[in-house]
Amino acid sequence: MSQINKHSAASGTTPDAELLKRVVKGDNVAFAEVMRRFTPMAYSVAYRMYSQKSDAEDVVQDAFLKLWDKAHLYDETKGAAVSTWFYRMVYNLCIDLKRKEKGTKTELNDHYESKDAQADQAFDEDNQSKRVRKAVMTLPARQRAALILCHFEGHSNEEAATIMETTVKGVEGLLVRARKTLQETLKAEQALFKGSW
Amino acid sequence: MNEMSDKSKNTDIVMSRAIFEEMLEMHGADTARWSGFETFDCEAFLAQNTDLKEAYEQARALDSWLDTDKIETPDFNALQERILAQVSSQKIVPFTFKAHIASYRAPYAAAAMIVVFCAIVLNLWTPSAQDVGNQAVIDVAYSDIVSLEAEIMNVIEQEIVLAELSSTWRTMQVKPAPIQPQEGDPVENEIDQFLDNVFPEAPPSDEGLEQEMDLWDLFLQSENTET
Repeated sequence: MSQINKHSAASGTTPDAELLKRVVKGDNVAFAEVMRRFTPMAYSVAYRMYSQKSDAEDVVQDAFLKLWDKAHLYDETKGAAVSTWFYRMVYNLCIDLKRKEKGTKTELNDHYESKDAQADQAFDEDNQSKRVRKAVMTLPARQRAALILCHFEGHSNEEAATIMETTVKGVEGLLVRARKTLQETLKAEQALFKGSW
Repeated sequence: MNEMSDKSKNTDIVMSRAIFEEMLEMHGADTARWSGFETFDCEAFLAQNTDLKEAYEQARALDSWLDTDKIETPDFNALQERILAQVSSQKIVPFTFKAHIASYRAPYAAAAMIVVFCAIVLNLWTPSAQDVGNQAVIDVAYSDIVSLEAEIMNVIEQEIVLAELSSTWRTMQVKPAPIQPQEGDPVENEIDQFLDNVFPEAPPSDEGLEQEMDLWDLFLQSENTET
């Protein structure tokens, strides 16, 4: 990390909140450590929300620039962990970008048709992954976000509710609807493959 | 309804068919995701509720299907370098109250109103015989209010200075708008309009003022000769 000014150290054991306090003072080393800790999870959420590598990278970049600017707004006394606070930032950016791009960009999910599945009969791991992602992309943004946070990221319903600024009941409803839709998609895919063999 | 004691850390809630189905619909077949039932013995429950096996298998199939989704991971180091480069190019402005004074306007206005209200109430309120013993408490509360009021006044003063500076800056940046005819003396309005036509923009320096005065004289002379 050539950009880092070596004026302070940030070990892997420094608490997140402590690092954030140093980020407020403009400490690049602490910021680099925050990035090292949170980049994979931020990217994972953004990638699953968009299914586009470049979009996900943009979201991650925007999220960290926002963190750099807004680190002073983190309030430890409110009880939310730094990671939850940052997840919320990433989630909001994903939703905002989604709104901005609505209608201007063709998404992967817009063309989820059965003929795609027929064309992908090779059924290798990569194609399987793509089909799953296409199916996930057909979900409304909030359902998708709930599924990503709880299923893929392993958050509890309470944490997901905090990140999405909704109630636990709300998250539960989103999860049930998302899984129901995906169950139907899976059944359709299974029927298609049974028919084609 | 078949019920089974939950072996999880949540000892208050007993697993039922309804809860089981709800958990399957919400979190899938992996009990590790079942909040409050993480260590629930699923197999034993299904042995007693065989009709739920199909729903369980469907949920498990969906989980396996979802778990085949793989992420196309970029070079995180390069991404982080890019972000750091952007951050390094930004001017670091440490957080100061002044820099964020705008965001405090509403809460401070509300606080000021409360202080004023409290001050009025304290001034109007006459202590009863019972309250006289608590005079020390009242004095402390009153001094707190006074100091808070002083603090708020300080903030308001700072805000006024900032507003003045901002206004001055805007004045320097923006060209003066053409003067619109005002209600009042028609002769004055006419003179203003005439001058606006001659000087659509403000003179760049004081040099313009002499010419302007000459034109004023000429205009007034022409007005006198006409009358």
